[in-house]
Amino acid sequence: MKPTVVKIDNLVKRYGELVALDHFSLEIKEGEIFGLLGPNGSGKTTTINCLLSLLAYDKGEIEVFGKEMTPVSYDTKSQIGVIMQNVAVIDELSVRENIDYFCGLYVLDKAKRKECVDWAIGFVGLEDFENFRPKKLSGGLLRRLNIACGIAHKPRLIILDEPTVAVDPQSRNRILEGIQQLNREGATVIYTSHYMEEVEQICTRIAIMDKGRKVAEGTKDELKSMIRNTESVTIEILELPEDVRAKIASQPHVYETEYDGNKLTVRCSGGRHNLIRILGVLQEAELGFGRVYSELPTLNDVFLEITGTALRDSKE
Amino acid sequence: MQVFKAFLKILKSKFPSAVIYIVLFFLVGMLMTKTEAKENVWEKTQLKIVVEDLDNTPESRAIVDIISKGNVVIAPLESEDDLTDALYYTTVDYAVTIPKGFAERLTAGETENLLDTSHIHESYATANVEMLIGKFVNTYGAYRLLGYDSSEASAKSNTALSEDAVVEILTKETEAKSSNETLLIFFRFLPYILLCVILNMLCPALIVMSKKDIRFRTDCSGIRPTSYTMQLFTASALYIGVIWLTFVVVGAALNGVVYTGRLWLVVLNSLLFALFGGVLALFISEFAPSETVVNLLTQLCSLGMCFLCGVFVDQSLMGAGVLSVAQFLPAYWYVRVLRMIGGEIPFSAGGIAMGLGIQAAFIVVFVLLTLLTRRSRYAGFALRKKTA
Repeated sequence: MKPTVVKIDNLVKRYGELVALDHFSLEIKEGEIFGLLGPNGSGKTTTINCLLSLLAYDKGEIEVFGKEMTPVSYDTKSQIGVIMQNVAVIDELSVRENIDYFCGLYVLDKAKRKECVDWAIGFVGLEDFENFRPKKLSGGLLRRLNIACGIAHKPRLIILDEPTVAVDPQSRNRILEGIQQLNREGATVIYTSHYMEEVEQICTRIAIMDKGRKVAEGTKDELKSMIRNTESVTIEILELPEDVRAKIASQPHVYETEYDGNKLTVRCSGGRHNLIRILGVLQEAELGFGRVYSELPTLNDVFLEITGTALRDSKE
Repeated sequence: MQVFKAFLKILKSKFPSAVIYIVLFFLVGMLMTKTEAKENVWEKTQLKIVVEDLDNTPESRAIVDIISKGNVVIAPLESEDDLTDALYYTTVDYAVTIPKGFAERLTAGETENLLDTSHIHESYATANVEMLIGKFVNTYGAYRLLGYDSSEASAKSNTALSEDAVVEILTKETEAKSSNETLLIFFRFLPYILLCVILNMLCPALIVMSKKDIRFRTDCSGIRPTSYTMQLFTASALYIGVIWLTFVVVGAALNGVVYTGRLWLVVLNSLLFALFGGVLALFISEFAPSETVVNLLTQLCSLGMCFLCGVFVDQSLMGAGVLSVAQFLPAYWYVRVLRMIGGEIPFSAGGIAMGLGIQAAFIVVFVLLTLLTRRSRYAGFALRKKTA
């Protein structure tokens, strides 16, 4: 069994009357890419800040690499790399100087540090820009520099707090590929985001947070199996008599139908040939229809069903 | 030493803005030194005056005599055009024509428009000539009233007005300034420039390091807060040291002085004030204000303190109320120590020690305030963890 890298037990954090973390617990094993998914204000960043001992908490315990995490756990901190949502680089220093500075906070040996900086520059693909000042870099390159500053010391645990916010798709894919590569090279990753597609794409295990609580945890398949909806069939149809809709609703595994005048949505729970059966009913009734598509549930569906709110519609 | 090195690099990038202040100050310093040297040379100005005496009486001759003393009297020119040209090209400063009947009118007690005069520029020199003529008319009138005849009155007026006034300037300006004194003037204005250069460069650099995201990233690392703070303080001290040393060396070079004896107290005094500027910058930057606010605070601290404490205006000319307020600022004690060394107020070892000690106390207080602010802003969060 792989060792536990992060253990959060019963964490409570209050801001006055507001409960930011409500008895939150978590365990992350070595080698995982662990996703913390939740809407803005769900407590993801507060969890990270508490984990890094940058924020006091009211109750609970946090262990990292098997040791209690405190503000003076410098040895533990030196094995953690942090990449935050905001780009934290020094405008007055060049790309190389920035990486060297932040790496130097962890790696004191000059020769080793140079090796680390060279590696980080190569890893994020900034070889052609190493003497540029950050202000001369595009948004995507700046994000890459931000990542390089956080990983240059080759940490065992990497925490990424929404690193792809306001990043173009090309740079986003590169960042996600980079995270997976770091994980393959042995780093355990904690990845927070409110972009479910990203979390679904790279995370081996996911915890869904809402209002400071963990509402679900597991692999993406485990999470999807927690909900009733296993398949959503959508058919573009201009006319749907009520008796035909009732017949569709009575098909095996169908538990919900929705019709808005030109689009029928049928939600199924389990079953293998739902689409064929539904189309069979329409053909039998000799009704014409347009495009047909079948979708497997997403994490948004999981979130929707568990919390009753769509992930992206949630308010802070 | 990562923080130390990075901070110096940031400071280097801010250096051009400080150069403007430094260069301007040195230029003004050089100018002051030159001006001070010239100020002590006094010479009598002689005007070139064309005098035409058409009256040829004892009175008119007396007035010609008075004008000729201390001025160069030129014979009448050939034409009026020549006179106009001469006045225009300033080969002649003033022209006086004594018309016929001048003596009669003067004896009759007239005082207005007795002479025909011409000049182009209104200056202290022309005013002086007119004043001289006016004086003669009044003095002559006074002697006539006393019963002297016209010849006697003319002669006595001539004698009375021929005596040069004895001018004695009852300030330190009477003596030529020594190099030490010009050096003290240089050092008297130093607080302003030190505060400007230190605050304008150090604050923005410190603010870069205190930015929330940079600070966050630093706090996440394995570096100990004490080590981080010490490195920042050391780099700041190095910068202040270089700036201060530059001023001390250039000050000596500009004034041709070698530091000896009491001048070392001047140097120590300026070092303490430079250090105060440094800790003030550290304190201000803890609140991470914007560049505009830093500029505002720089002007407020430098100009405000310098005006209030006697850097720009001599403390001896300032009111007691202002000085009693100024005592709560280090620049007051800086200037006071300088005045003691310069002999403006009685020198005493105790007074010097008090002035330097109070400045040192200001430094300690601001260091403590800065450390306290740092602790409450950054280190305090997680330490306040409650065990439930």
